[in-house]
Amino acid sequence: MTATRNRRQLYIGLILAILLLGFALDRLGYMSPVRSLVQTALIPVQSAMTTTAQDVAREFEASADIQALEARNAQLEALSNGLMVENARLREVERENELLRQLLNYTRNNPQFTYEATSVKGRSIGYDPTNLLYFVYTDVGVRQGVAKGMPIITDRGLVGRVTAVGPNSAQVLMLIDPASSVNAIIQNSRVTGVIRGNIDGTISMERIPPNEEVNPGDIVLTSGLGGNFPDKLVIGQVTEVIQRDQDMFQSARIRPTVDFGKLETMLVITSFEPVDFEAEILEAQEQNN
Amino acid sequence: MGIVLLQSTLSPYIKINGVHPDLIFVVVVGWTYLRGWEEGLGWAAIGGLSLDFISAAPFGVFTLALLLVTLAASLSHGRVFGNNIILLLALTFILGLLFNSIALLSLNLLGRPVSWIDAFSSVILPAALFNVGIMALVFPLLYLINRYLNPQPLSF
Repeated sequence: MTATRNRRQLYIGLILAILLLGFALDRLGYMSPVRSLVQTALIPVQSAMTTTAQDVAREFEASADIQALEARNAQLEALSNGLMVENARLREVERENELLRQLLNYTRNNPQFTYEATSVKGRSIGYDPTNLLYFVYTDVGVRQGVAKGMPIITDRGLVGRVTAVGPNSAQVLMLIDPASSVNAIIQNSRVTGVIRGNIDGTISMERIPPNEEVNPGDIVLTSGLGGNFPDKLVIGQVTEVIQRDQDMFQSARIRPTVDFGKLETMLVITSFEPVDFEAEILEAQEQNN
Repeated sequence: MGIVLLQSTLSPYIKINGVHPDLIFVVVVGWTYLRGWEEGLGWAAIGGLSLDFISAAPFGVFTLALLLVTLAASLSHGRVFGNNIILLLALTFILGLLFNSIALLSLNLLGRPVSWIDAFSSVILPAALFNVGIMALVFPLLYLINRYLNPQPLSF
């Protein structure tokens, strides 16, 4: 009995020691190359498994009348989302035209402010294996020009941003993750707020000023504030507005245009550099000194 | 590692209400129930480290959670109820709640925002119920594997 207890304590101690070492190395940033190496080694297997799973899923989906109706529904929903995205894009183009006319002299005097969008196509090869986190992994990395902080989109809208990158893979924090935070704006009213992910895989717009009007159906875009994302990327549509007397701000439930459960091909915006305020403040302080 | 990869690639297709089963947890608990704490701890370490390598969570979160639930599961090995499936399913439910709660608490302590009421109602409880269903399917397979690896001696 004592020998058994000692053995158990030894095993537990050993595992805890490995755990603590791994945790310390992770905190210090030394685990990232190891994780990248493991994930890179697993890409062929993950890609093959994902392709097989997608093919099998597509076979099952095509088989019965109920599935056919669901497919038709999905098509119509995709068409609706596509039209909504296109509508949002056209309205933004119109608004941009107005602003550009007003700012014509300014742009002539500042020709260095031009924007060029480039992108890298990445395939989704897997999701975070736990129920508590919402990350997706792609098969493009440093070698394809991907860097940490770059936004990820699909034709339907914003997916998230790159939080870690290896030679041939990248980890993407999705919009629906509770740790995700995106500054947003409602297209019609220009009311700003913050999009946050919820643990159940939905998103909400928070910190909406209480006196601003927000309506179901309003389209939500990225505002570009904070410098983490470019502006005018489609996020979703307001489905419900929540306003309680005791709350300082309103909030709204948002239906995202992107189907986060069925990501296949995504685009990485490689020309966008997120602003690192901390680094800039440090640099400014150093220059002053 | 294979089970973790399976979970990572298949999770979008086996979700119910946005929740998928924790396959590693189910296999580790089931095996511990059959084989005791020594083998259970070994598989908890391997399964947990595999999860920690693949997942975006801070390293060690899921290994710690699996370790603790395995120790709890090992208390049931070889008890009066033997291989009672009902006991195992009840244990799976309780340990399932514990597993995700410990992982979420660790994430919260490491700075991740958590709404506990939403987490419990939309993820932890449904996942625990889903794990019970999967255990009912997986345990017979584990039992057969155990019998194959360790055939019972004939007794007269």
